[in-house]
Amino acid sequence: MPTADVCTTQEAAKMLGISVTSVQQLVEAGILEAWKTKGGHRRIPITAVESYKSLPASAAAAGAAAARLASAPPSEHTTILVIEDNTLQREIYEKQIASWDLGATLVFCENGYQALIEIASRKPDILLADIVMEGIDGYEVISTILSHSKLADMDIAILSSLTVEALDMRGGIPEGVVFFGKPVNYDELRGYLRACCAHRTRKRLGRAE
Amino acid sequence: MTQEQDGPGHCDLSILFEAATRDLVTFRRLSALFLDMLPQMRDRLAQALRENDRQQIARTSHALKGTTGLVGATRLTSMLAEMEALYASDGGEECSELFLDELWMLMEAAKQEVQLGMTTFDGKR
Repeated sequence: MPTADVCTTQEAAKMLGISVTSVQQLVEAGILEAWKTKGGHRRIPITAVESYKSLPASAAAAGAAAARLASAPPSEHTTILVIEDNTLQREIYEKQIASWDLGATLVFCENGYQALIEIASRKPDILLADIVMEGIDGYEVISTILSHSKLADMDIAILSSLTVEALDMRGGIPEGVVFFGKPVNYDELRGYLRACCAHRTRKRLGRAE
Repeated sequence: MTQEQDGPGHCDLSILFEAATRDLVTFRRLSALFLDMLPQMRDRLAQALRENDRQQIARTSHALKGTTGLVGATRLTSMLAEMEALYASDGGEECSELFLDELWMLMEAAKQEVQLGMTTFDGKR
């Protein structure tokens, strides 16, 4: 393939508006086609990047891969996945949630692409999702989860500073999904997560008997 | 030290302190992070305004709003919410020069207050 028809991981990241790590994860998950040069450098066909970018919902493709891969055995601990693109807010969630002694594993993603990869590899029990993000937004991630039966068991909460009107314009809060407005009331979030974690523990104990 | 009494537009650092689980070391780390993030976000907003990229203005003001809310900058956060709503709509309306002047001024004030708070805020009322 002529050099002009392929790009590097960095160039693909720029074209898609995501991080190099996210591109690497998409490649490793088989969502983006790529190969390596003799020198070990990854090359991605520009057509692959463009077709991925132009999909009506890129999340659908990533989600399909996620659902295919989400056959990992259930973890012994509850896993909470947090999608948040704001570094400061992420750090606060980490500090707050860690202080609640939930006995859960906490995983952070800064965008929807990374989140779908994490969902594929870890199959988290609980998802806390921001909505407005570059690329695949929180709504697309949630729709993807809700459309796959293997992922239907996940507890999902939206954490967003969008107004109710703005949320309605985006299709409203999906059924069975909990909404927390920002600034987040951490007492409420703690109560929600405690209930979710207790429910997960009971389920796990029930399975073990 | 508390800055709640400073009036609208200025920071209430006790909000960040509470979010930091009342831990001063974390509070200072988060303050430093805020000071790193604010200029980049402000520059992104200024550029979007220069290019009159309405989508980018709405997106950046949304991101900024989330950040300034974390340090209790009430007036600034509500102005950014107003800006986000204005540019997310199809009405073609724009912020006035006066509005923008106040916005930049409040951002600078927030930066200075957080900077000062890193050394003077002790979590006591």
